[in-house]
Amino acid sequence: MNKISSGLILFIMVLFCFSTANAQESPLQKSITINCNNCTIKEILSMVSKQSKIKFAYSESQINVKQKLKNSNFKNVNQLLQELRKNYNIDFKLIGRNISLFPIQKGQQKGSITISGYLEDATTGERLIGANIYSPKTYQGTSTNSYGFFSIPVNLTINQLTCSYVGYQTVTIPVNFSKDTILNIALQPSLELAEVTVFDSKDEVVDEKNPIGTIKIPLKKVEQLPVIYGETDVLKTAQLLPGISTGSEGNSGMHVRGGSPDQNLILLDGIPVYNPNHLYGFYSVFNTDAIKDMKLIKGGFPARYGGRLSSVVDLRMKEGNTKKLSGGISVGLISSKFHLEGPIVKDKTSFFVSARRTYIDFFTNELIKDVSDFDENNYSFHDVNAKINHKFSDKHRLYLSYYTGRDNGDSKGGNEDTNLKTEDSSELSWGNKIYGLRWNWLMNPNLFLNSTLSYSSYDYMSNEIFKNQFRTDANWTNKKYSTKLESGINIFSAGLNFNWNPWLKHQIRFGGKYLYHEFNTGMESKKYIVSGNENAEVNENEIAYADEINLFVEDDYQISNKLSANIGMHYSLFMTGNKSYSSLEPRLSVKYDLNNKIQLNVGTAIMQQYSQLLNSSKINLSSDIWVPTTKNIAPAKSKQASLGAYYAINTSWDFSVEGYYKQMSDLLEYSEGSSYFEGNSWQDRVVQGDGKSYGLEFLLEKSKGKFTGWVAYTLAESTRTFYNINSGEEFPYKYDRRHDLNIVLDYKLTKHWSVNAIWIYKTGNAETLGVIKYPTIHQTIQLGNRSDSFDIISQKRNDYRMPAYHRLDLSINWKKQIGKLAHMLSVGLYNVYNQENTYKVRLNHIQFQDGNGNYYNNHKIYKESLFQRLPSVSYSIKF
Amino acid sequence: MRITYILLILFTLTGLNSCVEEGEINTDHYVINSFFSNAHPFIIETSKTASIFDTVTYHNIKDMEGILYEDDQFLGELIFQEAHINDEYYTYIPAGYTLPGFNPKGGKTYKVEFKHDGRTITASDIMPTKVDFTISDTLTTTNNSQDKVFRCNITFSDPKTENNYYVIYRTTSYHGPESNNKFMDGGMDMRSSDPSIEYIYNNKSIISNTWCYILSDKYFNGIEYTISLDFSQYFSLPDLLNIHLQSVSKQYYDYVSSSLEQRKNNYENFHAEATSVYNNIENGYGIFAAYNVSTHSIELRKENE
Repeated sequence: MNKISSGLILFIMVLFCFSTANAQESPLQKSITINCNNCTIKEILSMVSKQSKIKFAYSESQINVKQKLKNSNFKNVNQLLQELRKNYNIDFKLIGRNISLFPIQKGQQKGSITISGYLEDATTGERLIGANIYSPKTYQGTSTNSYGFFSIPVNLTINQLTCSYVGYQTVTIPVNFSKDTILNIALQPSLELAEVTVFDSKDEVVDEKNPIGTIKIPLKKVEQLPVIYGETDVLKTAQLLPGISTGSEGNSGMHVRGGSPDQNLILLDGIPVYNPNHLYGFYSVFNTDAIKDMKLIKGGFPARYGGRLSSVVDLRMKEGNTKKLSGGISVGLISSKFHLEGPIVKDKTSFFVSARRTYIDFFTNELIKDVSDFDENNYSFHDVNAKINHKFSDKHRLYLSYYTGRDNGDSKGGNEDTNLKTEDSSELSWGNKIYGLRWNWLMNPNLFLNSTLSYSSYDYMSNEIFKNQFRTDANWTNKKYSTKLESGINIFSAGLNFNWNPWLKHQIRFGGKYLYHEFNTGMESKKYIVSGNENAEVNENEIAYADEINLFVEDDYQISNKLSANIGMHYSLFMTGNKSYSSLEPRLSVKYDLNNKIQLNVGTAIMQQYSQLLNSSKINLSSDIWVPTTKNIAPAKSKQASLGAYYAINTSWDFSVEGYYKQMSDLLEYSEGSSYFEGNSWQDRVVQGDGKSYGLEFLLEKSKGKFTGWVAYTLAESTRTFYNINSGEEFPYKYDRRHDLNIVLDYKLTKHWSVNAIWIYKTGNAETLGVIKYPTIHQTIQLGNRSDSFDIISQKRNDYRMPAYHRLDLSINWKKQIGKLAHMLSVGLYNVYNQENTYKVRLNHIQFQDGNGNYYNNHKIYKESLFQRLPSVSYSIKF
Repeated sequence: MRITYILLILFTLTGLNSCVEEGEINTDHYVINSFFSNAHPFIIETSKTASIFDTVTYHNIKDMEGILYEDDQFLGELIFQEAHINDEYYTYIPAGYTLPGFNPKGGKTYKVEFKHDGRTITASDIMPTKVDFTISDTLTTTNNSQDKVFRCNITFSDPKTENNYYVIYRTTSYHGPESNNKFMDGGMDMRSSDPSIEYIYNNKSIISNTWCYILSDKYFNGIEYTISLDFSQYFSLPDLLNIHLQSVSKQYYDYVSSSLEQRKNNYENFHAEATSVYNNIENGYGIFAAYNVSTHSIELRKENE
């Protein structure tokens, strides 16, 4: 039996044990004996309460507890409650050891009103995403959307609403309204911010919408965790969570459930970012100072998302403090950054701006000069985030978002003698640009519209110029050879997204989007000039255009107190040239509360992806190109099903387990031996194939107290099958990881000091190394047999498994408010025990001679590592 | 207790070995290797593959049945011959299968078929047409190190209708009674900084012991092209400098370039993925590829006198 099967059996055992263990202790199973005929509900509840020590909470104005029970023969509490639910229209909710009783809701209540509005941070005016609003009586409610908006139909008998959000003080407000009302609610941040949850914490009194496969990234944690060179990175923090794996060491590329990095839809304020990498993926383009909220969905995708197979990373930029001017500055080892935000018109218009720049070029220029032929070298990256938002009224709000980021590098070198001069120079540049204009319109208390106009672009350019002058006799011959390569993608989109909450049990979203794509899939453009005459110019860039239409509808349906579902349908149409592709993608995720501690989830989704990234290296090269679906290249597709369970061990500890199976088809890869730098169309150099991945993900988290953290473990397998690669045989995905374990610990030593530790263990990458060899050709064109002949190595794709990767990172953080300034100093050590993790393996040819003078060849595996022990320090001030 | 239980299960799972299932490695494959041309002895080496970690000396398989076809027409049965010194080229000829009198012609397709132990191994390639060249602007000068440098331009016309691939290399010869103008290695370095050169192979190469330049016509497709070459002396000045322009088949180019890429990616390029070496042997491994050589010789002593 393979290990995955063993894992699945264990998974089922875990679920079974939890259910059994919990059922034995559940208050619902408490035995009761009732000796009372013709007793009222109130009397029976009183008896049960005495026998079982369970308290019942109810309002006599809502429930008629004076009616008599016809049947009083109950063996346990659960039987009583089921009888009340079945024959007396009384529902219940278990809260700890207490039970709340309330009337069963049946669709829209007559005489109900709708309360809608926004939830925001009381100190900054920032809208709060995913906050909960519910009735403290019925515990039914809703959560805010990406713009902090909520809409909740309430029965006129409800006179209070409770609002809660992690890191903020929970408030309960009176709602003595007789008509539809717009209500803007401000929450005060908690003084104690240690409650950082990875998984949306299941509060004992809140029935949160927590779909399967969705993870909220703990942004508060991001700035405390030790990272390489001290540069905090939201994507690298995400890699510490189950189901999300790293690529090569130090790389921020995410491989979600066996998918490649291009299968992640990375959205910044709802706008796709096509290359989230600086410095070949060693850093992400997201400046943590500018990010307000980050959510990662890896399964059970809601219908509003589409276009990628493996995940959605939804990042929201800060909107800007509407109350007062604030900001901060941070200095690190390789970069510095600042952010500034404040009101332009108090409580109406605000701005946010942040910028970051590296100073790698100041350090590395001299170093590179020493080790290379180049006389001059420069490399740097920068990024800028900006946002303005204006509130016209409670019903209208406008947002303008902007992001730009760019990596630049150039080098120059040359040689000269009396008869020969050479000069070469190269430039390299890549970057993203994003513009977004959004208009929020509360059309009526039940209907919210978000209209978006956006533009996103990614471009890459490399230019190499080589000059060669040589003299024969008295004449100089001048040759100039230049290679210019440009590629990129431009996307314009316009979309309408509606949130419609007509009934308490339904939150309906629907909308559509039109996208215009322009792909520049590039091709090397070469010029060859001899003595002023241009001899050849080869290849023009290949430009492809495409139109795409997306439509979706989804419903967050609260089927019963215990059962809820997100049911949706996503439709996409992609038109390129004379060819069009369409896809109807049903989506479903169901959540069932077994009791107040255990929640079961199931989700399924079909996804289709119309553009893919052609990658030819183990790092995220900026020259990797986004290519579209064409008449010859089919869109990539995936089908995924997942099943999970969540267990609230107590108020501090949570545990979850999730299993998934994903099938992918029409994935794109370069054919064997092909690369980007060839003169023919990319379509002639690619092959399409299938992939599959499956696994189990475990997350144990402690979210409260001095000591917090999580243990994330994934047991998985991911493979690929391409007709033209590896002789058509299935091979492991390069980043297939059987085991992936991340332990993240945070201990608050004092009010000002905390220490963090991360320990990572994962199965090594699958590398193509070669298992058989054969002789290279021995026929030289003269002078015979070479004694040093190399072997040719026949390689099967990803046929060698690198050693397991593990390392420990530590950091110590000091935080103190001095006057109006909040200071934070972070000192970290990456790879504390200096583990030489294998970054690359290679076969070295070795030769030896026997006593008779005969030479023999053999091979030995050599391992090379990249990052060993690295200290880091960063200091920031916020006001 | 439950936490303990959860942790126990978690660590039981992490205790599973991090490994990949390794199947049995089948190393029993035939290897066929031959570069054949209009100018050099025709030899096909045969052997078998081995495990990457085995210390092996490859031996020819002497009892194979081999047939050579030209444009699908039977040319003859191959015979095995032991290694020997070729008098004409003063060259060590390795052991292998040959067809006496075989002289491949440009544009023809050659196919070889071997049978052994019930298995059939085949391969084929098209002989490229010869591309001639001229030598001009010869000059003797000095480089920065004040070494004597012999410089010349070679010019050739790239055929328009097809993609072409080239190998440029040099040999030297001496007039003495023993060497008798035979091509020899050594004597001079060859250098060029021409931007069209894709691969430079400076010593002990797959295709020659000499310095080789490997290029395709993608920068000069269909036009007349000139490359400047520098030759510097490092032993006694030879009598003859022989410059060879090989027009090679795409399969030849793919094999050589991918072999070089494999080595480069294995030893030099830190981030690159491994490269598979091109293989055109059906039911086996190796290379069976053709080239067509043009050669011009320059009397160096005359040039220097």
